[in-house]
Parts: sequence; structure tokens; C-alpha cells
Amino acid sequence: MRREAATESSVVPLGRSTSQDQQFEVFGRDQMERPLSHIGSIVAPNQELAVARARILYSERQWVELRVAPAASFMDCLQQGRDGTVGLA
Amino acid sequence: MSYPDGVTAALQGELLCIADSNWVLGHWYVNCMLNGRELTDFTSMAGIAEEKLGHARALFRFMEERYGLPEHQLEFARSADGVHSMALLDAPPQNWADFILTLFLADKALWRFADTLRKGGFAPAANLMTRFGEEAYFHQLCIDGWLKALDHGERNDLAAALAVRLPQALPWFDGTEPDPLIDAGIRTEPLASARERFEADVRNLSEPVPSVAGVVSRHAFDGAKPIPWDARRRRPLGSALPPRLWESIVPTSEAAQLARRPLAVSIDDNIDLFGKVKKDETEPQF
Repeated sequence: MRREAATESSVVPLGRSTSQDQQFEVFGRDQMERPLSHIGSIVAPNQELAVARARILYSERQWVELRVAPAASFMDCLQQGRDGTVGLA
Repeated sequence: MSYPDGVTAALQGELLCIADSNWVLGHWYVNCMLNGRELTDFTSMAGIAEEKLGHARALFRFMEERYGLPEHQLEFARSADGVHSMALLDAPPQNWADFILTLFLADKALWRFADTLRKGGFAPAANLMTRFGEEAYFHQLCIDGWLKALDHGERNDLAAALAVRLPQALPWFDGTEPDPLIDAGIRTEPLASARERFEADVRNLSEPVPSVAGVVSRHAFDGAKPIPWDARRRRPLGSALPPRLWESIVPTSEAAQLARRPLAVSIDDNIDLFGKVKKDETEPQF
């Protein structure tokens, strides 16, 4: 009982709304003639924080374009860890 | 282009209101950074703090160059009763929701105020405000995200905090009438309009945080400015930053002073922006 109470009191909700957290992928280009490249990932509970965090965290270059997309919006094409088959094979 | 002395003095006061509010707001982020609950909160707050302090220092450097003030005087040689920051930022946050709300109010008020100079005829200020606006967009986006992520209890905390903080925020828009910056073409929109836009921003808070609807609908915007009011500093007359806040901004402890990066000039010189007696300008500075 005492142990349970101690465990309960030690569970401090440190995560901010972790149930809402999603992964976002960040793409950027530093010159218009270059292609958009994947530069990293962001975890955020909503799109506003994802965009703001992407711009703040990936500020090492003077980007001419920076884009953020929910990781869940990407469609599977090839993925490691499957059984090695591709297409109809 | 030169302006009459009265206009220049008014412009200096307004630029210091923007610079000092950014300065104190940047330190709010620094002081509260460890209240973030995720690594990305820490880094976001550090990034925003860097830019807010950057805005303050850009204005300090601009004013020092433009008005011939000794370097670093504005940052290191003033006292707590000479700062022009908004009184809203004097009291520390009571909880996470109060912190986010105060950031929201301060950032929106700062931008609505700065935006009145953005299309004005004084190009250096207009250009600085444009640059600040580009960065403040992302600061406000971050705050919007934090607002949306509040849980039920925090939303109630925020509504309670709004009832306290809003009356402190509104008087910031009250200045001298008629406004000499309007007549000089430096300000293109009266501060009364900026205040209306700010009030609309506050009303829109009820979208991400419905619990504030009751607070913003009840005479929330009727508050009068404190009397006596210092229209130049946009603070209650004679008010000073609280000692603990001031110490966090310009540390005076021996250890902090020892660790401070050496300055190119003495910070013991007086400047006359605030009516102090100026030292003999022939005195060598080092």
C-alpha cells in the first residue's frame, strides 16, 4: 500500500500531452536550385508547434524553403524490415 | 532626415519601450526555460529567448549609434527604475498556463505596438520592425501551439490568470495625445487602433481556450490606466522592475560581474536619455 502510494506520487506528468504527440518530418533547401532535402524530425502535439519548432531547431542554415509534413502522411513504397518482397514477388 | 527635438524624444521613448519589453520578455524565457517539459520545449524557449534578446540588442545598438550614446549604456548602465518594459512582465508566472498566457499577451501587445512603426517614414525603425515581425510570427506560432496543447486544468488556470494579467497589459497602449509620431509620419496607425487589434487577439483566445470566453466578455477591456501614469515609459509613474527580475537581467553579484565579458567602454558614464546629468564629454572613455 505504502509502496503503491510512493509509486503514485512519483509519477509526475512530465510529458506535455504525450497522447497527442505526433512525428513530423522536416525538409529544407538553402538555395532555390537545390532539391528539398530531409533534414530531420520533430515531435509535437500539433501543427503549430511542429512548424515553430522546426524553424527554431533547424536554424543552422539560412533556408530559402522549409517544409514540415506529418510522418503519418507518407505512403509506404519500400520499407526495410518487411519480408524482403517487392511488388507482386 | 532629422525630426524636431520633441519628435526625436518621443521616438526614443517608444523604441525603448519595444527594446526593453523584448529584453525582459527574453529573460522570461531564459528564467522559465527549465519549466519546459520536453527537450523541444527547452530548445524552442532558448531559440525564442535568443531572438527576443537579439531584438532588444539590435535596438540598443541602433539607438546608441543614431543618438551618439556611449556603447552598452542602455544594456548595462541603467537602473531598474529607468527601464521602459511593460508592467505586465513584472510579476513572475504562477503556473505553466500563466506563463503561456503572459507570453501570449506580451508578444501580441509588442507586435501590435511595433507594427504601427513598420510602414512609417522613419526607415531604420520600419526596417527593424519588419525584421522583428518575421521572427515574432514563429514565436507566436509556438505560443499558439502551447495554448492548443493545454489540458483541461491548465485551461481553467489560464482563464483565472487572464483576469489578472489583462488589466496589466491594456494600459501599455496609453500614451500622450496628440501623438507626435503620427504627425511626423513615423507612426502610420494610432495606438488606439493597435489596442483594438490587440483586444481582438485576446478575444480570439477563446478559440483554442474556450474557458476564457466568460472572462473576455465581462468588461474585460474597460480598465483605466493606473494613476499616476508615466506615458513615456508606459508604466506606472516611478515604478521599477522588481529586484529579483532586475538581478536576473543585469546581474550585479560579484561572481556575475567577474564573469561578464569585458566591454569596450566604461559603463560608468551617464547618458542623458532619462534626464540624468551628462558627464563631461571630453573625458576619455575606455
